[in-house]
Parts: sequence; structure tokens; C-alpha cells
Amino acid sequence: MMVPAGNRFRILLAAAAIVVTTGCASMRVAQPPAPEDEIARLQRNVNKVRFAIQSTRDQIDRARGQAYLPDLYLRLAELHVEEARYHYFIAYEGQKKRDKAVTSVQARLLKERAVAIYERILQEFPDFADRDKVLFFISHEFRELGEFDKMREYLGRITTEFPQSKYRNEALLVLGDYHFDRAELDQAERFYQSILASPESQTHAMARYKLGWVRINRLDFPGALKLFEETITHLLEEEEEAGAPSRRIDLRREALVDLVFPYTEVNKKPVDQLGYFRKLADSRTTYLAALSKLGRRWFVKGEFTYAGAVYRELLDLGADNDDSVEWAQRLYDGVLREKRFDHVELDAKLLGRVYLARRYDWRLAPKERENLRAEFEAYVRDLATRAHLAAKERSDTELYARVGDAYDAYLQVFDDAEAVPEIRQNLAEVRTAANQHYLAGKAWEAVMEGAIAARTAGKGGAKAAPKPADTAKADEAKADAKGAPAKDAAVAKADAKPKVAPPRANAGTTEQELRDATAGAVSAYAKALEQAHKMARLEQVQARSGLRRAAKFYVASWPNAKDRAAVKFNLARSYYDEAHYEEAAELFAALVEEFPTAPEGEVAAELALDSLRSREDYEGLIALSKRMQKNPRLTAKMKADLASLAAGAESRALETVTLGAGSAGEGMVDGLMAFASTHAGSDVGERALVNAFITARNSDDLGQVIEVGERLLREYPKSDVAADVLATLGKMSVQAADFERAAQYFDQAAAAQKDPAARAPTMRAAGTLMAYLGDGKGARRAFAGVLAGATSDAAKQEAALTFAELLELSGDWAGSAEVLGRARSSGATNALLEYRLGRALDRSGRAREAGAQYEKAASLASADPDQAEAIAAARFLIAEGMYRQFAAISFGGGADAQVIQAKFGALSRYEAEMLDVIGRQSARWALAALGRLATAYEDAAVFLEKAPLPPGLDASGAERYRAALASRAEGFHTKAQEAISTCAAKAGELKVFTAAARACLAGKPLAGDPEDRFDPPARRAAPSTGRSKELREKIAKDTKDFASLVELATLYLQAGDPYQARLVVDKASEGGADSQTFNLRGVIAYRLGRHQEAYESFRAALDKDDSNVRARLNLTALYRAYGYDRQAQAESAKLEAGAAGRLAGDAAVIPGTTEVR
Amino acid sequence: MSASDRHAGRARAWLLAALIAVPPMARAQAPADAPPAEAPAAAAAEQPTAAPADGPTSREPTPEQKTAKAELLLEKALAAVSASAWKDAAVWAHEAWVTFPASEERREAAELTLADALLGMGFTQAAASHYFDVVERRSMPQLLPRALAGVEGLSRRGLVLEEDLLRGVLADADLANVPPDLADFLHYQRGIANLRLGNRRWTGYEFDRIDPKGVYGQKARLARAVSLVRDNEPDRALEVVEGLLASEASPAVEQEALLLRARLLFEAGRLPEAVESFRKVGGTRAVAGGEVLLERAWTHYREGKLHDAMGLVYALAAPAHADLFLPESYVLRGLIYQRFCHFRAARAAAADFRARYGDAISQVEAGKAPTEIPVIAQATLIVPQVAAVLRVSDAMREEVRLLADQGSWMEEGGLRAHLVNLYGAGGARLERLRNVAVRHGSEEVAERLLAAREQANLLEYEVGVSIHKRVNDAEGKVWRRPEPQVVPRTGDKNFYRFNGEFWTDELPDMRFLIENRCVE
Repeated sequence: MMVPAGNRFRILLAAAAIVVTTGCASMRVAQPPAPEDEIARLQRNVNKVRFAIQSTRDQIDRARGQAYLPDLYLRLAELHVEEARYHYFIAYEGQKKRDKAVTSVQARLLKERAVAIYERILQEFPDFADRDKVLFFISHEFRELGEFDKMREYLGRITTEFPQSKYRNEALLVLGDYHFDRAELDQAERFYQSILASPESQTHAMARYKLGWVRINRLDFPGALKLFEETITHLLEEEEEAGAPSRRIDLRREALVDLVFPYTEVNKKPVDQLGYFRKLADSRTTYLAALSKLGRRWFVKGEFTYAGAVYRELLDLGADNDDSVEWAQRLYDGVLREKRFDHVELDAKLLGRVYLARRYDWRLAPKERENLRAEFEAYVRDLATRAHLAAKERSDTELYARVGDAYDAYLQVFDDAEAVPEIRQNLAEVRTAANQHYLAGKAWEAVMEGAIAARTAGKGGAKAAPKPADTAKADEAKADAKGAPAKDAAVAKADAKPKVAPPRANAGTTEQELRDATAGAVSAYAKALEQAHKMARLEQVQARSGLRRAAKFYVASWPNAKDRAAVKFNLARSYYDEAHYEEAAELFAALVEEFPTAPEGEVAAELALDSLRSREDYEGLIALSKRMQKNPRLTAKMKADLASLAAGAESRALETVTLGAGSAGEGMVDGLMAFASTHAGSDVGERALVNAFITARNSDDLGQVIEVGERLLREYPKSDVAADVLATLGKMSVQAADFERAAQYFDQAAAAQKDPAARAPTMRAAGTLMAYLGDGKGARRAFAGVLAGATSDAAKQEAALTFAELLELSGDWAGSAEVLGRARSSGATNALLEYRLGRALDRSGRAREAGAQYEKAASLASADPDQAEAIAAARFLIAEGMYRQFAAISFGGGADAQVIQAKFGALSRYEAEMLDVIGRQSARWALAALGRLATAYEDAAVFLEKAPLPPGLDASGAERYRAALASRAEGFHTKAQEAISTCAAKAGELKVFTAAARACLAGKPLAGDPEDRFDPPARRAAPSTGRSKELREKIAKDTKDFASLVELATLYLQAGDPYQARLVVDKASEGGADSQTFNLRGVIAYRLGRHQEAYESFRAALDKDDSNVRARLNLTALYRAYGYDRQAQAESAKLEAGAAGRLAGDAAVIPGTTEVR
Repeated sequence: MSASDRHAGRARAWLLAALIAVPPMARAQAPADAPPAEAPAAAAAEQPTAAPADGPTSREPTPEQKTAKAELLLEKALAAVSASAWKDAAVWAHEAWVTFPASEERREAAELTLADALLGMGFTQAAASHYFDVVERRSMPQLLPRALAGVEGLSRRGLVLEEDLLRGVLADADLANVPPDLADFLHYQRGIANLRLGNRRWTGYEFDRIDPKGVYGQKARLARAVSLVRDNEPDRALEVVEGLLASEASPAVEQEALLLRARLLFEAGRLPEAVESFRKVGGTRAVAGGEVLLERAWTHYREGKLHDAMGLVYALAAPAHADLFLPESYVLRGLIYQRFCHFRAARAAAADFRARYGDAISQVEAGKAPTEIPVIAQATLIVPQVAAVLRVSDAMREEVRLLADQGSWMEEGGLRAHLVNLYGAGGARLERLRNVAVRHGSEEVAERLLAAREQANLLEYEVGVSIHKRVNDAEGKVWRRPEPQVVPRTGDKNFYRFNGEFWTDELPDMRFLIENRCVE
């Protein structure tokens, strides 16, 4: 097989490099295969290459004079070199590779032949293009033959004769190495520098590397460090530029490893040594190789801190090899020497890992494993316990935490060691000191369980003596723990087993320690749970269960322990925090019972109640509070606090029941009523009934409201809300059309009401209802109260007038006069009051007193329409006296002439009065004045017509006299008719329904009273059974049932009680009266003699519904009754035939005018 | 043919050549050189590997004699290996191994032959130990490829702990004589080890040297993508995964890549693409098919395809997924029902969760160790990190039983004693690792269960609240009631009423018809 010359050269170069670099660094050489096979293979190769040599020679002979002849010579020389190499390896294998310095005669001879061929090329082919290569090959062979002077000669020729040759730098490198090996550093450096002065080439990296070693040998460590760094970085850059992995990784690795020495000399206090090497290393393997040397270097220099950092890194990277044990030992020694435990947790973990790798290594004998176990167990324990002491001395929380991790690492690896109980104890202590509460809880629990297991195994109470790896060393270890300095690392290592600081003076499993551990677990878990939000879910759950387990064990095991209260408290607290309130309340309550004076007792009491409050079990809370208050050992303050909490709970309980009632639908107040029963006689019981009442009120269920309200009033008659409750009941009774009950409630409410201002409307309501219901006495009492409470004249007047009207409605004019008179005597007066009082007096037969009142009314002036009408009425009624005087003047009472003069004088004055009344804008009284004027005119006419003849007149004179009187009488007749016509026209226009209007419409003068006087309808008890009862119950359930209200009003009307009928129909009108309601309202007004009001209602009924037959019939009848014949005719025309007959007897149809008197 | 197979083939050819070179006399004499058959195992365990069973005597052979005898035994063992006569091979290889002086390079050849023989008999863990030993010693570079091939083969079967692959043994192995495929294996393991150490540059150094088309090249790309995800560079990670999927990845790597792609797309909000990717994943070594279904169901849920999501949730009830631990599926079911305003069913999902896991949760709350709670213990077995340890641990346990079943032939030359020692140490180690893994895994499962319980609680609360409010989507728009899906009498799709019968091939495509009861 033909091998390209270049490749062969590289192989040779590599072999040369092996030899050259042995003094500086080691380079890996591929190991040969087994000798038997290899020698045979090499011999076969020799035969092959000999064949090639012979073939080349033959070709040379055939190629004389050819241009490629020097190439053939070159090939021939190389084949000799190749054969020489095979002979070398045959000799090497033959002596079993014991020494590479093998002497092979064949190899030397062949090399010499090769050199001869090379020299022949130089001599015979001066123009050969590869002369530089030939020179380099010759120099190489001389080097291998140990003829270094000749080697230098030929290498020197390359550098001088071929300065641009690619072999120039290679030659310089070999020359440099030659001088370096002879410690001729100046010469070596000169050659290396020559390379570096040339443009960058493949040789530069090696030149830098070699120059670095020159610097080291000159103790120029910064220079060496720089050159090694440059070697690495240039190679890295070269790789990056090539975009592919470099083939020269070994040089980088060597440079990095060799860099360690100058690095430790230059950087006495390195800041980030690991980062530095990590950055320069191209792989983990290279990094570890460098660190291995670095660690050793620092250790030798006594820089244990730096060495420790390096060994930690080495061990942490998992580089577990034969050196690991040594690294671990050095790490341990270094830490002891430095007495710095900043990385104790990592150190413990790493040392444990080194041991673990061997604990299960089948290649190690059991004895060896056991030795390692003893050694590493002691290392880890020693480090951890010493760090523990250091943490104690410094009170260093962070170090405590690290020590805890170190102990953890120990327990994970040496879980069967004798010191485990002590280490567990220590672990628990440091976790507690580090405020790692959850971990502390776990640790204490482990101590606890270990102790229990030991006790169960029959060792109860017996202390497990601390047994370090070597009992003989225990005392020394204790001495160390007391502060004795650690021995020299070398000495410690010589002892094989390091000294171990005792974990604690009294470690073991005594009953006391078991108890402390159990309490510790409870306390630690409790503290951990205070920060539960920082824990994982499982940790929370396990902390709670651990706490409970430990606490229950504690309570069961040491019933008289002093910190039992705290343990029990924490146990209860664990349930409380997990919202298991029932258990929490029970446990807290038991704690209070048992330890009422302990600090935990007070908090427990609150938490017990709070547990129940959280469950909204207020009844339970109140009961528990009361139960606890009975404990005689409780302090007064605690009892007061409990009582306060219970009181608050009662309110909350009531709130809860009240809120429940708000959404309970049917029977919504049952809960509140039951609550009231439970708390009968208490404030909260009263509030429960109040809330029940308010809740029921919103339901529109009068029956339920009455039940609740009356119970409230019955059980709490002095309740502040009694008046409001009664008033509300009254209002609701009104809403339900139960007026009698309403009147009673209003009456009682008024009596209960303490605020006069608030009392007045209630009393007024009561009075109004009483008046309607015919209870005049009650009504008077009520209005007396209203009047007494009225604070202004206007209020008094208004109340008096209202009440008077109510009394007049039922014909109680005397009562009216009394009310109005009382109002007037209290100072309140106006025209209307004076007039109304006058009229009441008048109607009750006290005309003289009435006249005085009219005078007073007439003397007042007001623009108010009602007042103006009152004044008009007063003036009319006062003038009635004038009219009576006028009417009383008749002949025979004196001289006729004087009589006539007096008569017409009176007429003239009366006429003036009436004209004044007519001018006062009151239609009602203007019609009355016109009617009465007509009467006066007629009277005057008749007076004239019946006037006696003056004595002494003759017949003609008498005739003329009579004619003259007749003429004047006729004039009065005409005036009378004019007055009547005007009156009738005005009545038709304004639809006035009075006696005056009726008279005018009938074409007659007003003879009697200008107003109709009606006897009030007789009161008949309204039926309370049958349909009426049904309706009332229905309305009580639904006060907006307007249809039922109308029906009930009709029933009352039929039963002859227009008074209640009116109240009911007024209630029915609240929802917006319809045509039927208006009609009924009109009928009731009609029955009560309020015809004007009746007209308005009938008219409204027809406005609402023009087809309402009853309303039209009623309106027609009313028109007819007052003489509005045309209007009656018109309305009648709209009625269907027979309507009146069909509806005869209908309660909603007025019976006609027969009742009008 | 895989790299290791090819390599094993070459090794056998070489061994055969060696066998031919053994003199006939030596072969005939070989049995007579065997050590006493009844060597007590316990005694051998005391001196397992340090020296041959025979102690020094007055007639103790010289080193040369020992070497000659060992050579003879080795040749016999190699011949037996070629003939797949594993028992003979094991006995002779073991004896050769213990007979060779410790300094003899051929001793490793004997150890390697012993490893091959043990592997042939099914003692994978013993074989692995010896392969690692040869790699670690590194005294015969020409044997390294065979030893590495053995490790690699067992690694592919999941019978080597990752911890062992990542420790220094492989990291420090010389690559000089290692064929490219095994070099890829080494570079991959080194790269992974460096990733674990957090050194990306070194990882890159190793991964760059792997043939990107090979299995380990693909796995390296996947590992790079995962590390990019951890570096919070999802876009770059997705780019790497897409590149990997564009090449012809091996089925196992492809599944891993598709799953990673799906997850990245999900996180990026590219839900339809994520669904498509999930759909192609039948499961990986670490993630069971059912878990992938649940992930797809969540994706459907997020993209608003609730019928598809619910279909997959119900598919998870299939017996094929009975062993999976998927408490979150109840929460998802409840959420879907809630979105459809099936409030009672939503609450029932939470109730079902409690019925299924309530007892386990109560036991956790009562302080019972999670490892002792059956539901949790069962779920722990499928936690990837635990499963990896259990696979090796189970193999170890099985092989310990296999060892006990071997007849007296194994006493020959102290082989049984050696294996008893090896399995004793290795078994103890694996039991320890198993306990640690199971403890950590069970805690992880318990935590997950408690988290799911919290979700179920929240679900119940949300359902309670939802009953009283209008059903709006996240943007406040009113949730429109979609037209109810009408099952056609005929058509290009067949509809079947679900009767609790699951067909494995249908599971990934199940949909759930459910009426939307939300008000508009």
C-alpha cells in the first residue's frame, strides 16, 4: 500500500515528539497489542517493506535521467526508515516492553542507509524542490541515531538556506528542545522566540508552551503563566476559527496542567481559582486533571483553604477514582488545620460519598471496606461535631444549619453506626438552634422514635454509651471537644482514625431525654406551623401529624410533666390551624379545665371559643363559655373575658339565625322564635323577637307579624321598640283592612310612645279609625292627645278640623263643637275654624253661640280658597238673621208707611249682604245667596201685593195704589226669577249638589237650609264571618289584593256599614282605583250624604270606563235628585233598556233620591 | 446492526482466531486445571478478587506458570463464548481472571470474557460491573471498545443506573481506540454529565463531537433543547426540536422530541399545533401514553375544545391506564363540567377524586409514611426517576434469585463465591438507592396528591360560586350556548353510545357529547 509521504512524516513527528517531551510532560502513546501477535505482524511488515524497497530500487534503475528520480530516492530513504522502525518495535516487543531504550542493530543500519540516500539526493539533485524536507529528514534521523551535532548542522541549514520553508519553525523547535534538554535556556529561548517572531503557524502553540517551561526554569512565574495561558487561548481561538474541534487537545491539556505551578506562585490569594481553570479547560477531564495537580500544589504549600476548595470541587464533580480517598483525606486534614467549617455540610456529603462508592465496591475486601468505613465515619462525625461546637461558640445560626445538613449526610451514610443516637440528638439540637423548625421537628421525632425503639428492645432507661470509632480515642475526642486544638493533620492521618468531638456530654436514651425529645418535636413542629405558608403541602401535613403523634405520646407517657400544658396547647393548636375546630375546641377546653392558671390556659380559653366561633357554633360557644366560667380556679379577669366573648357570641349567633331567616322562606322566623325561646328574658332574646318581627313584617303575612309582635310585647312589655312594634302592627292591620285591630294597635302604640312628636300621628291614626268605627269616646281621647301634643296653631287647627269632620260624619255635632271649641280656646283660630265651630254649634242647637262664631269668621280675611269659602259661609249665615228680620216685618206692626220703609230697608241691607257673599268666589255659597235672594224678592213682592191700602184712599186712588204696588211687586218677582235663573245656570255649569242648587234647578227660591242635612246612617256591626272573614284573611296575607278589598267594601256596604266600607275602599284605591272602585266610592259617599263627593266619584268611574252601567245609573239618579234633568236625560239615554231594573238592589247602585230629604 | 453488535461480531472473530491458535494439548488438559468445585462461598467471599482461591504453598507455581495456566483457561473461555457455552465460558474466564497475576495485561481480557459470559447467562448486573471495571482500569486500550460496547448495550436496555454512567468512569475513558459509534456514546454521556454540572461549554465540546445523525447525536440535540428550555429560551429550544424532527430521528428519540415540541408549543400558546404534536406521541420511557393524553386534554381545554378534552379524560378511565396516577384528571373533568354548567357533575368529579384518593390523603394526614400508603406506593413506581432505579434494582433482585438457582457447576473455581460477593455488594447498594428513590418519589407523589386535593377544593368552591353567576368567558363576553350536536342517523361517521367499553385504538380520539346548559 502506498502511503503519502506527508502522512508518514506526521507519524514520525509524533514519535519524535514523544521522545522530546518526556522531560517536560507526558504524552499518551497507543499501547501495542499482545506481543505474540505484534511481533508476527511487525515481521510481516518488514517483509512487505523490503519488497517495497527492492521494487523502488528497480524503479530507480529504470528511471535514470527522469525528473522524478529524486522523488524515488526520497521514497527509498523513507522505506528504509520505516523498516528501521519495525525492527525497533520487534526489539521492543522482544524484551517485553521493559524499556523503550532498545538497541537494534538492524534499525541503526537502516537509518544510516536512509541518511546516505538523503545526502545523495542533496548532492545529485541541487535543484530538487524538497531539499528543505530532505534536510529535515536527515536531521531527524541523526537525532534518532543520537548524533546531535549533525542534527543541529542540518537543522541550521534549513533555517539559513530556507527561511520561508514550512520546516523552518519545526527545525527551530527541535533546536530549542535540544538546548532546553541540556538546560541551555538562553539558546533554547532564542530558538523559541524565533518561532514566535514569525507569522502565526501550527508550531507557535508548542513554542509558547516550551517557552513557558523556560520561564519556569528561570523562576519567572508570571511569564510562564502568561505563556501557558496564551498557548491555551490561541489553541481555543484556532479551534473556533476552524469551526471544528482541534486535534491538538493534548497540548491544551498539558498546558493547563503545567500552568498550575506558576499559577500558585503568582496568585498567592486567588479570588476565583475554580472559575479561572474552568474557563481555560476545554472539558471536564482536562479540568479535573488540572485541579488534581492544583489541589496537591496548595496542600504542599500549606494553603489548606485553597486546597480544600479544590478538593471539594474534585469530589463534587463525582470524579471518583483511586485518588478520591486521598483527596477526601486531604480535605479533612485541611479543614482541621484551618478550623474553618464554612462548608461542613458539603464536606460531610463529599466524604460520605467517597465512602459510599467503596462501601458497595465488590472489588474491595470486607476488611478494607470496614477500615474505610471506620475512617470515614470518624471523619464525617469529627467534622460535624467540631463545626457544631464552633457554631455554639459563635451562636452562628447559619453554621448551625450547615451542621444540620452535615449530620444529615452522616445519618444517610452511616445509618447503622453506633453514634447514630447521639448524632440524631445533635441534629435535633442544631436544627432547633438554626430555627429550621420543620427539620428540627423531624429530627426530634427521629430521636424520640429511636429512644422508643431502644426502650422497647429492653434498653429503657439505659444510656447508649457514646462509642466513637475507637474507644481508646474517645477520651481524646472529648478533650478536643473541650477546646483542645486538633492535632497536626499529618499526625491525625497517621493515627488512621481521627479524633472525634463528642456530640454531647450526656447523649443517650434516658427517660428524660426521651421526654425532652418528644417535647422538642412538639415545640419544633408547632413553631414550623406558625410559618405554614412557607412550607410545602406535604411538610405541613407531616408537621401536623408529627406534632400530634409526639404530643399524644407525651401526654400519655408523662402525665405529671411540667410542660404538659404547652404540649397540650400545641396539640390543640394543630387541630385549630387545620380548621378541625371541633377537636380543637374540645382539646382547648380540656386544657383550660386542667390548667386554668397556666399562661396557655388563657389563650386556650380564647381559642376554644374561637374554634366554635369559626364553626359558627355560637350555641356551643355560649355553653362552653358558661361552663368554663363556672371553673372556680379561673381568674376574675378570665371570667370577665369569657363572659364578654359569650356576649359577643350571642350577638353573632343572633346574626347568624337572623341571616338564616332572611332566606328561609316559609317559616322564616321559626329559627328566630326558637332562638328567642332559648334566650327568653335576655336582651338577645328580645332582639331575636325584634329581628323576627322585622323579618315577618317584610313577608306581608299579618298573622305571623301579629304573632311575633304580640309575643314580643307580651314577653318584653317594656321593650324600647314596643311603640314601634304596635304602630307597625297598626299599619299592617290597616293594610289588611282590619281597622278595629288597627285602631287598638295605634291606640296602644300611642300610649307606649314616649316621644310626643312621634306619638301624634299614631294617636291621630287611632282617632281617625275610632271615629270611622263609631268609637267617639275613643276618638275624642285620641284627638285630645293629638291636640295636646300639637306644637303649633296650624297643627292644632288641622287636627281639630280633621277630627271635627270625622265626628260630623256620624252626626256628632256636639262632639265637633267640643273639639273645635277646645282648639279655639287653645288660641288657634282662623276663619275656617270659626265657621266650622259656628256650624257645629248651630247644628247642635246653640244658634246664639254659633252666630258669634260666624261673626268672628266673617271678620277675618284670607285669600286661601277654603278660608274664603268659610268667610262666605259665615257671612251668609250671619245674614240669615237679617233675612229673618226682613221676613218678620209685616203690616200691622206700626204705621204702614213705616213698615214698608222698614221692610225695604231691610231688604236693601240683606241684598247688599248677599251680593257680598256672591262676590266671594264660593260657588256653593253664591248659589245659596242667589236662592235666598230670590226668596227675599218673592217675599218682598208678596209683601207689596198684600200691603193694606192706606187709609183715606179712594177707589181709584186705591186702584192706582194697588197698581203701583203690583208693579213693584212684579219687579221683585222678576228679580226673584232672575236670581233663580242665574243660580240654576251656575249650578248647571259647576255641577253643585246642594239644597240651593236643587231649589234653583227646580225654579224655586231657596226656602230652607242652604245645605242638605242628613241623618247619619245607622251603624251596624260589620259581619266578621263567612265571606267577609275569608276576604279579610286573604287580605291579611296579601294586602295588595285590591279585588278582595273592593269586594269586602261592597260587603260592608251591603251590611249597612258605610263607614268601614269607606275605609276599605280608600285602601283599595291606593293601588290606583279602577272604574268599579270609583263607583263604589261614590255610592258610599252618597250613603254618607256627601253628594258632591259622590258626583266626583261617579264621574271618575265613567271617565275610567264609559261602559260602567252602575256608575251611569248612579250618576243619572244623582242628577235627577238635584234637578239636573237635562243631564240625567242625557246619561239615561246612554243606558241600555232595563239596566236599572236588572241592577235594582245592587249594593253598588244608589237606591234613588228617596233618601234625600 | 448496532454499534455494539458490530463490535461484538468483530470481537468474536478475533476470539475464534485465538482459539484456533491454542494447542490441542492445552485444550485437552484444560478441565484438569479447574479449581476445586466445592469451594465454600463464604470463604470465597472473603477473598473475592484479590487472589486465586489457592493460597501460597510450597508448590506454588511461578508467575510464569500462573500466566501460562491463565492463558490456557482464557483460550478455553473464549472458545466457549464463541460457542455460546456460557457456563463453561464463565467458569474458565473467571478462573483465568483470578489466575492471571494482577500486573498481567491479559487479566483484563479474561475479565471481559467473564463479563460476556455472565451477560449471556442473564447476569446483567455482574456483567455491567465487570465491563465498568475494565473501562475504569484502562490498562488495555484495545479492550476498551468491547467493554464500552457492553456498557452501552446494557444502558440502552435501561439496566445501568444513570448515576453510574455519569460518574468518572466513562468521563475519563480514553477515546483514542474507540470506534465512532461508541465514541458517540461516550461523548453523549460526558455531555450529559457536564449538563448536570451546569457547564454548557463542556457540554458543547462533547456534543459537538457526536455524529448528529446517530442515535446519540439525536439524543444530544434533544438534551440541548431541554437545556435551552431550562435556560428559558423556548424559541431556540423549539428550533432545535424542529430541526431534530426534520431529520430521521430514531423512534424513541422522535417520541421524546414530539413530546417536548408539544409542550413548548403549548407554552407558546400555539395550541392546535401542540395538539397535533401530542397526538403523535404514544408515550416515552418516562411519560406513559395516558399522561400524554391528559396533557393533550389540558391543551384541548385551553383551546376551548371541551368535548375533545372530556373525551380524553374519559379515555383515561380505560383499563389500559388503570395503573397511572393522574389525580389532576378529576380536576379537569370537574372544570369541563363547570364550563358546561353541569354543576352537579362538576361537584361529582371532586367527590370522585375524594372517593379515589381520600383514604390515601387521610393516611398522609394521619402521619403514615407515604411509602406505606398503597395508592401512593403504586404511583411512586411510575415516577420516572424512581422507575429508572427500580428497573435496575428489579434486575438485580431477579439475578440474585437466578444466582441462587444455579447448580453446583458454579462452585467451580469460586465463581459462585465471586458472584455472591458481587451481588451482595451491588444488591445492597441498589436496595439503598431504591429506598432513597422510593422515599423521595413517594413524597413527590404525596405532594402532588395534596396539590390536586387543593385544586379539587377550589373546584368545588368555584362550582358553588358559578351556580350563582352568569357564565362568562375570561373576556367578559357572554358564553354563547352552542348548537346542540345532533347525532345523525346516517353519514360518513359512525356514532356509538358509550357503554364503558374501551378500545385501545380509539382512546386517543374519543370525544364526549355533552350539552351546554349555560344560559346565554
